[in-house]
Amino acid sequence: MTQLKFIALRLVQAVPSILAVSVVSFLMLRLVPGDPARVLAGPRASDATIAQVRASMGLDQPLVTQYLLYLGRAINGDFGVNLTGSSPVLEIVGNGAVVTGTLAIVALIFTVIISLTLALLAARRPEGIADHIARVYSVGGLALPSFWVALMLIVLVALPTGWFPVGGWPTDFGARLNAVFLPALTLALSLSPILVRSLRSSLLEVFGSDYVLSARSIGVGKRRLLWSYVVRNALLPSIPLVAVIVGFLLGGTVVVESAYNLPGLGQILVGAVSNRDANVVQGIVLTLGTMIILVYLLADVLLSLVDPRARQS
Amino acid sequence: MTGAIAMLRLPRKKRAVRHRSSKLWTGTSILAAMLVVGVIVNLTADPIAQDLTQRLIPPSLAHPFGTDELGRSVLIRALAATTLDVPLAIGAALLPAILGTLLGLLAGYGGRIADTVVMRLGDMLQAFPSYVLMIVVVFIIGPGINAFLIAIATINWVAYARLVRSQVLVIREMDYVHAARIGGLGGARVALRHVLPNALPQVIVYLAADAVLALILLSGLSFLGLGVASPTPEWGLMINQGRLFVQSAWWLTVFPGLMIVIAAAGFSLISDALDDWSRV
Amino acid sequence: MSAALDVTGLQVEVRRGHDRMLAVTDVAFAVEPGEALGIVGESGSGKSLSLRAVAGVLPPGVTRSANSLITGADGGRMAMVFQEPLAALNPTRRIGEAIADVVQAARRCSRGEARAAAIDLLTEVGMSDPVRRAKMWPHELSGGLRQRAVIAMALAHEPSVLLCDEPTTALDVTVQDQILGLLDRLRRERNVALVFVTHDLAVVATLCQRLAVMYAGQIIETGNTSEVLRAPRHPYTMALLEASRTRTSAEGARPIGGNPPDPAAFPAGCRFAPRCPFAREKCRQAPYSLRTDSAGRPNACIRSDELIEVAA
Repeated sequence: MTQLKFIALRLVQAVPSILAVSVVSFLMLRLVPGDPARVLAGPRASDATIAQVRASMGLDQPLVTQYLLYLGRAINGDFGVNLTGSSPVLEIVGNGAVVTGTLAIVALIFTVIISLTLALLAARRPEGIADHIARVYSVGGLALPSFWVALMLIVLVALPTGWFPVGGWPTDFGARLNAVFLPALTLALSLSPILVRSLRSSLLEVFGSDYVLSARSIGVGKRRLLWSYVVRNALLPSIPLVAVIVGFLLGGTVVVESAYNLPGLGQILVGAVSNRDANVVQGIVLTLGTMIILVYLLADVLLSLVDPRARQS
Repeated sequence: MTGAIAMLRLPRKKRAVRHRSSKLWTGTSILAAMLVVGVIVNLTADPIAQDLTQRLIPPSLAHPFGTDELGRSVLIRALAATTLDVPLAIGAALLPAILGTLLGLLAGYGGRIADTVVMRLGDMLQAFPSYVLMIVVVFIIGPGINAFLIAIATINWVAYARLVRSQVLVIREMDYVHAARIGGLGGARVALRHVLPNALPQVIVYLAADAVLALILLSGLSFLGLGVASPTPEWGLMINQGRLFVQSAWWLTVFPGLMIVIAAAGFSLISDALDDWSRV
Repeated sequence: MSAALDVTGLQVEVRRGHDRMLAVTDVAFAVEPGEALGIVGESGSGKSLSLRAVAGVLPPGVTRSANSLITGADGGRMAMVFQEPLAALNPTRRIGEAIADVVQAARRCSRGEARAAAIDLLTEVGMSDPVRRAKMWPHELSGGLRQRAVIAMALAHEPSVLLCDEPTTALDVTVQDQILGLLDRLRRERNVALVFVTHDLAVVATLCQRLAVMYAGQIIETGNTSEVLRAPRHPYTMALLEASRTRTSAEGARPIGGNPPDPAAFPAGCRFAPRCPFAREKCRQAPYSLRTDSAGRPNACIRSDELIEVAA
C-alpha cells in the first residue's frame, strides 16, 4: 500500500490507544481513596470549595457521564486549573512539554550517536578493545542510576567549567540547548546500553552478510557501503527498540529534570504529586501517554520508510 | 555458506563455562558481603545518631566516607542502607513475578476475554515509562515503601505473564492433541507440572534483571522525595539530601551512589550469568 | 600468462573462539578464458570456502592464509554469484541502484550513466521489462529473477572470471535450467572463465569442460569432465559417481559409508582412507600430492595405477 495510506491507517489505529490513556488518567483520580471532590479540590480546600468542585465537575453523576464530560472538556483544551488556581493546566503542561520535548529530542540524538559510534567501533574489530568496552558498557551501563550520573556530571563538569548553567529555562534558543546539554547527555548515557547491545549484534550480522561481503569485494565505494549497505540494514532491527527507548527517556526525564532543576513535565509531575495537585497530575499523565503513543507510531512510520519490506502490512 | 561452517565442530565448552560461573560467583559474593556487613553495622552501630559537633567532615581515617550535615557517618549509613535496599530490590523483583505468573495462568486458561483483557492491559502498561507509573501510584496511595512495592508489582508483571501464558498455550496445544489419552483430565495439576518448570529458567533470568531495575527505581523514588522517609538510611534518599551540598561536600552524593552502582553491578553480574546459562 | 585465473597453495583457516583449523589445504587450479571448471564434492568438502577464499568474500573469523597465490590475467577481475540470491542482495536497495553502485565503482562514470548501464545489464541477463524491474526491491522478485539480478551485478564488475557457488540449488527446477543456460551463454559471448561449485554431477556434466573433485578440504582428482566421469581414477570419485548413479536410477541409493572427517582432526595421510575400500597401510602415511598417474590423469590416490584393473 502507498505511504500515505499506511500513515493514515496507523493514525486511525492510534486513536483507541489515546482514548484508553484518557480513560486511565480519568480513572486514576477515582482510585484515590476518599472523596474525589476533595482530591480535586486539594488538601487545604474548604467545604464550600469542595461542594463547588463536586457540582462543577459533575461528580455526583454516573461514572460514564463524568468521563464523557471530562473527555469533552479535554478536547476543548480545558484541563482545569492548578491547585492555587493561578494557571490553567493546559498552559502549565504546554510549557513543560516544550522543555521535556527539547530534552527528549536532544537526548535521543545523543543516544543514537553514542550507540552507533560505539557499536561500529566494537563490531568492526570483534574481541578488540572497543568491543570489550561496548560489552561491559551494555551490561554495566544499566547499573548506573541516572540521578547519580547527573550529579556526578554536575560536580565534575558543570561546576568546574561553568559552561553549563544548572537549573532554569532560558528564553534564548542557544542558551536552551546549553541548559539541555548535560541532562540530555545523562539520559543518553543511561539509555545507550540497550541500543549498543542491539546495534552491535545486528552490525556483526550485517558485516558477515553476503550482500555486504560481495559489495565490498566488487568495489562499491566505502562511504556508500557504510551508509546504504551496512548502517541502514543494521539499524532496521533496532528501530522498534527506539520506541522503547523514548518511553524510557520520557520516564527518565522525571529524575533527570529534578536533578538539573529543569522545569519540564517530569519535575512538574513530581511537584504536583508532592502538593497533591490532582488536575496537574492528570493533565501530565494524559500528555505523556499521548506522547508515547505518538512516538510508537512515529517509529512504525519510520520503519516503513527505511525498510521497504515493512510496507506490506 | 552456513552449511559449510556448520559442519565444523564448535570449540570445547570448558573454558566458556568457567568464565560464566565466575560471573555468578562474583555477583553473589558482592551482594552477600554487602548484606553481611550491613547486618553487622545495623547491629553494632546506630545510623541515626546525630553528632552536631562533627558536621560535614570530609573523608578521613575516623570517618572514611565523611559525615553529613547532621554529623552522621556516611560510611555507617551507607552500609546500613544495604539491609534496606538489597532485600527490597529482591522482594520487589519477586512480587511482579508472582503476580505475573498468576495473571499469565489466568490469560492462558481463563478464556478469550480474560486473555484479551490481560494482554491488552499488559501492552499498555509496558509502553508506559516506569517512573511515571510509579509516581502515579504514589499519588494514589501516598509516598513510602508500600507505594513502591505496589507500583513495581503493577508495572513489571507483564513479562512474566507473557512467558507463563505462552507456556500454557503450548501445554493446551498438547492437551488438545492428546485429549483422548489424557482422558480430558489434563487439568490444572498436570499443566502446572509442565508450565511452571518450563517457564522457571526464563523467570529466574527476568528476576535477576528486575532486581537491578527495582533497586534503581527505589533509590530514584527516594531521591525524588517520594519514597523512604528520613531519617532511615537509604541510598537514594542520602543522595537527595546531599544535593544541597553538592559543591562543598561531594562525599555526601558520591559514596551512596557508588553503593548503588556496586549493588546493581552485583545483580547485573548474576543476571548476565543466568542469561548465559539459559542460552546453552 | 594466458590463464584467466590461477590459484596455487590455497589454504583457508577457520577461527572459532580459541580454536583454529585449516578447512581447506593445498588447493590449486587454473581456468582459461571462456572455459568452465566445475568443483564438486559433498557438503563440508570445503568447495564453497575455497571459492569464497578466491573471491575474497570470506565471513569474519575465516581467513585465507598468506601463502595462497591467486593470480589472474592482467587487469582481470573476479565476481561471485551466490547460492542464495536474497542474501546476496541488499534488502534496502532497489536492484537497479545496487547494480548501478557496482557499475559506478568499476567505470567511475556518472550516476545516470551507471543507471543506464544497469538496465543494459538486466537486458543482457534475460530479464524482461528491465526498466520497471530495476525499480523493484529484491523481495518483490521471484527466485529466478533475483538470481539474474545477482548475475547482472556480477557482470557489472566487468569480470574475466565468474565464480559461481551452487547458483541454482536454491531455485525451482524449472528455473534452474534457464539460469544454467544463461551462464553458459555469458561464458561464450563474453569469453569469461566460469568456476562452478556444485554437488550435482549432472550440472557439471552439461556445463563444464573440466572438473575438480574435492574431499575434506583437498582436490583429489581433476581432469576433463567427460574423462573423469567416464573413468574416475580416485576411489572417492568412483564412489561419488556410484552414489549419484543409483540415486537417479532410484535403484536404492548406495551412499558412501561413514562420514567426512572433522576439520579439527583431519587424519594423517590420505583423508579418504578411513572410508576407502581400497585403503592400505601406506595410504595412511602418504602425504598429499596431486600427481599425474600412468594414464595421464591427475589425482591424489597413490594406488591409482594399481587400481586400473579393479575399475571396470
